Amino acid sequence: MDSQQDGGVPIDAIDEVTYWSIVWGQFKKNKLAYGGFWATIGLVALAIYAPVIVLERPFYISYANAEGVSVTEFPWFWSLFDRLLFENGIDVFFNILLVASPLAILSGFVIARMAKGNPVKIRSKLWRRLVGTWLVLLVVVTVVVSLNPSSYPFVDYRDIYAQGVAQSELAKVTGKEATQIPSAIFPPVAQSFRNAELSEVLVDAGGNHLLGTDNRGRDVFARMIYGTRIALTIGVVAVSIYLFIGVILGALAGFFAGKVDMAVLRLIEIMRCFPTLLLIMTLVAFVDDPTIWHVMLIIGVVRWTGPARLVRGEFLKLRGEDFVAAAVASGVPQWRVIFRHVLPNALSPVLVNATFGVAVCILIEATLSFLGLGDASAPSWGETLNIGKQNGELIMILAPGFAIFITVSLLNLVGEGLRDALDPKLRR
Amino acid sequence: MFTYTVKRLLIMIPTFFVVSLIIFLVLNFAPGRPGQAGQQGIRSTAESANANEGYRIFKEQFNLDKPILLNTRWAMSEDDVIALMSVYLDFTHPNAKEACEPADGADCRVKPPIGDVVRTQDEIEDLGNDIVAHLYSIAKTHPDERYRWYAVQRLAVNSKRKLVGEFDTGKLSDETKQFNREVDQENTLVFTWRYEQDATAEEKAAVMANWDTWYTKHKGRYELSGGQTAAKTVVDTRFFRYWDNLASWPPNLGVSSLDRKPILEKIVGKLKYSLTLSFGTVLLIYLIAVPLGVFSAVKKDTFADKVLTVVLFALYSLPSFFVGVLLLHWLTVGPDWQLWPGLPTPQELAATGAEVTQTGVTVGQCIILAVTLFYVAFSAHKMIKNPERRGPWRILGTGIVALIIFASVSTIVQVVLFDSVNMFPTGRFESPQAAAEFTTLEHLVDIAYHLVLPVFCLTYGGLAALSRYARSGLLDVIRADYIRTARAKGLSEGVVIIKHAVRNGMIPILTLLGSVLPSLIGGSIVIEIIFGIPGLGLYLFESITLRDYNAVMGIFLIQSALTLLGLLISDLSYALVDPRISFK
Repeated sequence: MDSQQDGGVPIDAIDEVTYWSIVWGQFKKNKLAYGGFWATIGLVALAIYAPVIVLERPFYISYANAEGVSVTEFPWFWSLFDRLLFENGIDVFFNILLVASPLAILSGFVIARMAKGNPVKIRSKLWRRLVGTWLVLLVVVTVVVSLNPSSYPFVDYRDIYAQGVAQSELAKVTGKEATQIPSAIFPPVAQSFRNAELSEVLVDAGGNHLLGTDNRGRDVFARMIYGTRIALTIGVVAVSIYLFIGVILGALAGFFAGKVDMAVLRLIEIMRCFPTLLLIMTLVAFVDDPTIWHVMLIIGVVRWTGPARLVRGEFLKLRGEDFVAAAVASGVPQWRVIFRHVLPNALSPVLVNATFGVAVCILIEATLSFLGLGDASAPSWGETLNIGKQNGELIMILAPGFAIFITVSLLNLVGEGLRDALDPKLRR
Repeated sequence: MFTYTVKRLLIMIPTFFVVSLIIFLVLNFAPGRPGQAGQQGIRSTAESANANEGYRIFKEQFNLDKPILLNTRWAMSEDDVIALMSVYLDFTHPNAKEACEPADGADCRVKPPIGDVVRTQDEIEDLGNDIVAHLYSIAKTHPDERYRWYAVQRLAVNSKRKLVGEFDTGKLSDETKQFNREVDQENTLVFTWRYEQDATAEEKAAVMANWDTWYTKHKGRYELSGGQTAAKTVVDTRFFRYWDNLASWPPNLGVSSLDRKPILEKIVGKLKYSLTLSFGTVLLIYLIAVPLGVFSAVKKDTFADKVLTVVLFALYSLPSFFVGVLLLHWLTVGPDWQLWPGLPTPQELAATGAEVTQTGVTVGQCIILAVTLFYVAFSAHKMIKNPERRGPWRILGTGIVALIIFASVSTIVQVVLFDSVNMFPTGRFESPQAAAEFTTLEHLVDIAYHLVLPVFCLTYGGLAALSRYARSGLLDVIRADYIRTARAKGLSEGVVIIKHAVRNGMIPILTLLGSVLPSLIGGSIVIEIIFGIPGLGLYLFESITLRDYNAVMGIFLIQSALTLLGLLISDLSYALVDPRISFK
């Protein structure tokens, strides 16, 4: 951010007002969008803390095992890394996030204390480093955990608990010497999103199953909660992929103009010829056994033209500016001019595009799994909707439908707010 | 302008070519081939060669036996062919074992995995006429008796030639028919020139003598000159053959691998469903969105504008497949829908059977009436208080709105009571008996009745987006000087808005029409699937799941051609509508 010093104003005060702090101030004025922002944060929290609400393992259980010896276990914590329970890499990532989140918040506080009183430049640098370190750490740990599928024996703790309680009740009635009464704390909803119980197919809502079960006996409420993880990851990862491709191509086209621009424009025109949804559907259908990662990759590869066009336009505007000429004249390498000097100034329209893009990607994934083309192992909302449609179960249509609707409209709200905050000319 | 259009059209050709190349590559490099199901497993050569003949002809007919982009089969040497053959021969060798011990002697060989055997057999079959020369030479000269035998077996199949134009749309000429007859005779003949492994030396010699005379006669076909090889590299590939057909007029998109009907014909047959659906949708969107946008622009920042903004925003975020499924669930099955329902309670229905027709006033009826009367009373009150709001049109409008409220509240009450009511058909484009029994008018009404729900699902999303465009378009011009001038010279507000502002403010959304063109065909895929409308979207979905390559390819090509055209039209229409823009 260039901060020119006007006469009389202390340099620190000017330093405090950055471009993004102005944008944030504008964004906060839009109450609806601001509320939508916090609700979205809430959704992310729901995705991270899903196992705290829904999991069939108790936080703590104390019971007498087969030999009559009292055992105390903490199955909930260990099951977070159990690949039998959480087959999907996405779930492992979120679980690690869950475990790391107290530490992350703590380190955030520490950094906030440390940063206090420092100028903006140092503060933002500190924050960037913190976030970067955590991201690298998380990805590394996730990969390590994913590559080492732990083989815990599958134990149904709900069964153990129920049997223990029944035995001690029986002992009370018959007057025998009482065995240990088991004690356990389960999450509020002790159901699995993934393990099918064939004895409980299409159970009505209420009782043990808040929203009933689907045609394979899986708890619908649990699938709704864990579906948040799938939806958000799809949105964020797919958008990251296409931003990566689009921003680089657009930046090169806009900065070098001429022949490079021509080539990228042709490429964009070619990509625009394909109807996006149809192409994504076809690609996913032609992958053998598509996983959630295939879907993300395909969406990412197909949809990059939007950000590319935006970034190209911004670059074409900015390449003639003085600060670019100054950077080039002072011998800064070309890639550095592109990515460090021009790109940060060209990103704001892309940010808006990305926010709307997350919503669109979530919709696309829901459509795919609704049509039965997505990853069959992931608890996707669209799949539940499809099952609800096939079985004529209203609750299984309404629950995922509204989940998609709420997520998409929250993201759209934030996107609109962001657009208004970034470009005051558009606000009316 | 003219030169610009011509230039754009010329650029379109290479773009279109690359687009077709990309789809072609995606489809052809995808794992699995159409019609391959049921073709797994090892075929012993002699007896099941007949059983396999159908699939071989299928592959030949759809060019699936050809290389995808470049034919480099001329570079294959005899040793390559022997290596391919050896997999099957090793597998069936009497001394083949899972693993060879030193004690088994030098003649022992390791059994290759069964997958390799299937793959190499397929490969040899696909190589077809291209390796006839090698096979002949192996059959003549290979030292191993089994290789000679296998080469003759393959020769009998691989030397078969392809019939011309068997599934082409047009009638075959007499020469072609004559040619096909000859080819067929020759194919049948060469297929008999085989011998069993335990055949006597005389039998073998007789068969080989046949091959000798045949090969010397047709040598020219299989031993190619340099020029022929170079041409074959490009021409004898799947992609070239596809484009060769495509570039003819009328374009030949090939035939469906499912029912052997021409793709183009099938697509054109589906068009009427898709086009009816999309034209209805686009028309409705524009008819509703423009007035809505104008209304909220004129009433900017009033309560009505804010409510409209929120409602449209919510509609925009509602996934159409969700709404479609929900409407299907609520409005297509159950007791018949009535405007003024008899409304027995579900309990009564359960107790006395479905034939209850109770006419007494129930709670539900009270609600319907109360809401409607409240609305009528409210508007009457406003009319009495405010003289500006009186007049015959106001009364008519109030009546219509009251009827709409009455009908929708009645629907809601019935849905709440009965879980779902039978108001609309469960999908499809028309009643099954429509074509045979209905008059034209009845037919049209029938189609419209079937399309109410799908068109609604397609409309509301686009409506939200477009009315926002219309609103901001109008807001752009409403502050312009000429609007102030118009007001200043004393024109009425209606004339100012409609004659001066709307005409200019709607330019951007009119030009959007060009980009609507491609979505006319493929935009409604999910809705077509949900409502079972046999349009192009449903056809593409079925073709994808059944791996009908030619159909998928054809739909994508038509779609991308339309997109290119749509982009051009939308660019040109900018210049046509707005004289400030010109292309030099």
